[in-house]
Amino acid sequence: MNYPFWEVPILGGSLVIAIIAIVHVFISHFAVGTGFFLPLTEQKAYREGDSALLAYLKKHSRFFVLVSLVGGAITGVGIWFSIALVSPQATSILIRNFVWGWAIEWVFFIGEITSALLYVYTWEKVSRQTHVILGYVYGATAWLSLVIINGIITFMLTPGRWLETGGFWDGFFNPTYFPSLVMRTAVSFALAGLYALITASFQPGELKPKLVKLAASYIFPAGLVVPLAGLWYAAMLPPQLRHLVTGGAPVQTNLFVGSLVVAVLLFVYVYFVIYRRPQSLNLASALLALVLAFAPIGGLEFIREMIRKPYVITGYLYSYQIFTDRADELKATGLLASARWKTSRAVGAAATEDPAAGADLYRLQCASCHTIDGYNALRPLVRGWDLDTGRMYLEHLDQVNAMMPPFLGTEVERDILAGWLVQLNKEGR
Amino acid sequence: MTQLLIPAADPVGLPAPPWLLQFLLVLTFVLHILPMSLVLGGGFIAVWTHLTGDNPAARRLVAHLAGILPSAIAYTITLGIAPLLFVQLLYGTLFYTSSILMGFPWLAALGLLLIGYYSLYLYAEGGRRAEGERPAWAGVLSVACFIGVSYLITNNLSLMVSPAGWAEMYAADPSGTSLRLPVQAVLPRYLHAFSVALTLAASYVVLHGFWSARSGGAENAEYGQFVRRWGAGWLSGALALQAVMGAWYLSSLSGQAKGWLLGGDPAMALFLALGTLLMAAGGILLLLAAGRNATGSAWAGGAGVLLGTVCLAIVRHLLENRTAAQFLPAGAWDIRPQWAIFVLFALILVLGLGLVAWMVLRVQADLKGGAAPRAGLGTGAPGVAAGKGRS
Repeated sequence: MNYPFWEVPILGGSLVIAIIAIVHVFISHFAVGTGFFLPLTEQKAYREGDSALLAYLKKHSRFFVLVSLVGGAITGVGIWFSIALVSPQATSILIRNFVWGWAIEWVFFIGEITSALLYVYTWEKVSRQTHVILGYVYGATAWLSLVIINGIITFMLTPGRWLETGGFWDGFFNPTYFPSLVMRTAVSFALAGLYALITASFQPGELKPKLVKLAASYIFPAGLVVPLAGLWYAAMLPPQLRHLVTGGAPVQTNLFVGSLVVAVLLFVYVYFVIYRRPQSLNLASALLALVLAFAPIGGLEFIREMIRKPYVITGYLYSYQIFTDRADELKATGLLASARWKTSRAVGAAATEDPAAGADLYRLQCASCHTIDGYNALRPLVRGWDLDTGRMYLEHLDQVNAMMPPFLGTEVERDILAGWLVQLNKEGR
Repeated sequence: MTQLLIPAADPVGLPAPPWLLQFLLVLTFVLHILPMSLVLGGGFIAVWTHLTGDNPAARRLVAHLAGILPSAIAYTITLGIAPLLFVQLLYGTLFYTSSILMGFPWLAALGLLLIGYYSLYLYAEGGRRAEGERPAWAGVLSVACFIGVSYLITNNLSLMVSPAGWAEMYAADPSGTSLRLPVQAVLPRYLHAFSVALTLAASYVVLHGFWSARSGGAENAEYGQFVRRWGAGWLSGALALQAVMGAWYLSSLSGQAKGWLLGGDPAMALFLALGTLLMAAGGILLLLAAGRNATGSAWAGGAGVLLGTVCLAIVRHLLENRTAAQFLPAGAWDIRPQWAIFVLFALILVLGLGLVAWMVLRVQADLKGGAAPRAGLGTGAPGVAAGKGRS
């Protein structure tokens, strides 16, 4: 609309963001938890005079740097790049509102990389006390970066009083801020334990059970904290959003239930297969635990994104990058007349003659969430449609499906888009 | 007449006055290009030295550079976040548009960064075990990836201030799969930036030569001498390249931009003259110092190169800002300041930098004091060793 549209065939832009973001969530939360796992375990090793445990930690910390400093940083920048490509309007609003929050997070990043690099490169070169402090500085700064970014992520779903005041703190400390922070902190510790199992699986006989017990003490608390924080989170959601995951919308509900089932499976698996039989831990069984964790964590992030639809910023900006307060104006003036970026030239009634107008309207109104044949594909959805079905559907889009925004455009434009969609049906293979 | 297509301004104002955001943009950009130059120029020098030098001193220099590059890339990425934030704030309407127009190559920069970063670790770690095992291919791959990433960034920042062709580009092909600008339009700017990075990296190598010789011993003195000479060779080449590329870049600019730089805009002209002078004087001083082994002049020369770079970064910003200002939509720089949160950021920045300095100093003190329990588990409870080491 205001910006050109970046069309990603098959995957769709939103799935590109999701893929990068879920990988980032998995790495960044691991990094936060491991920031505490490392110094705490190091102190334990000193207390118990366990040189094997120290040797393990040294290796584990190198693995940690390779995963978090490299993968975490690049996927973090990747989220930023991809949201700016897919949702430039939303990204701009977020940056203009929260730039000082991001700037504060940036200071924490500098603290994180400095402490992480010093920690990894100074094993046995500095005093134990210095080394342990470096570890805690890492843990603290990594957690503080979560404290910041959590405000911006939760803002998008529940902007709260910001919608009236536009104030930084009203948006930052929004209704779901605290439950989300508690949940993410618990997930961070659990992931630290799960990653520790990976490196633990390579350890010789006596060390392995000790590490499994230690890792379990990071994993199991999440089994209690995450459901409680989850209930708190759900309680803070507006009722219509809560309703979506509790039967209101089948996809979200199934995904939510599926995530819960896999989460339970994860804890059962870790308890019976790994914790009870620590000696049998190997790379495959440790990786399976990590994969099982990936499903509910990814699932819950995905659900958060899904229940936010039809908005990018709830109540403020629609998924197709149009401000909610412009809806009436666009219905009157038309999308093609208002859109800056398009391949068609004609507007108004003349647009019906322009073959490019339909594809333009698809990009302006559909392609932010749909692709033609790939992710969230339109072609199967319009199967069996004729022009009247298309018109009727577009006219009542937001009433037929709560995740859909209204069609914003004139009746002529609605008919052009309906025609273009029906054409997909005819081309259907 | 070419139709200009610029997105409308956001309904949310800037969170601070533009002058403050511009100051932070330049400041953080300079912080970003220091480690970036080490990665790009230093990586290039390391790999070249690896492939051509077969004496122990050359191998030691490669080991040194390879050892610091993974940390340098970590800082390059992190310190690069801030200037990108401020670019988005100040020129968002232009920057988001240019990014989308070259969407796929722009996103591919991340893939290249990931490959470059991991191959850099392979390169660094390979040599940690034994110098002969350092995989040259990993170094070459890493440098190639970083050249690719930096080219894509230059391409985007050039496209950002060239909105004249956007409407036709999008109408002809909305897919975002091409770079949108021909190589010859980006190359002068890119090669000039690359030559500055190479100058900074070569200056670092020369200074590293001086620094190493101070450690004492015949071996260090020999190594220092080699590194000084080797670095001086690179520095001469980099300065010559910079002069040629600078002239090419200047001649490739529009008449309007050239006019600004050559006197039409007094601030731009002043900083360009100052930057060129400092860069040349600093570089020559450093070269002379390397030949005569004059440590004091070497540091002064290094400072000259650094200050010259700062001046050129200011010119770069002034040019970008004045060019972009012509295309910004009405209201793009309306402000709705968030002073309280800015003050909080400033406080946290001071505390954070203090914490970083404290960590570095504490580690240095420990390293000098020999505080480490050598065997990992020696004597005493936690903290005891520290106490001993620090006393």
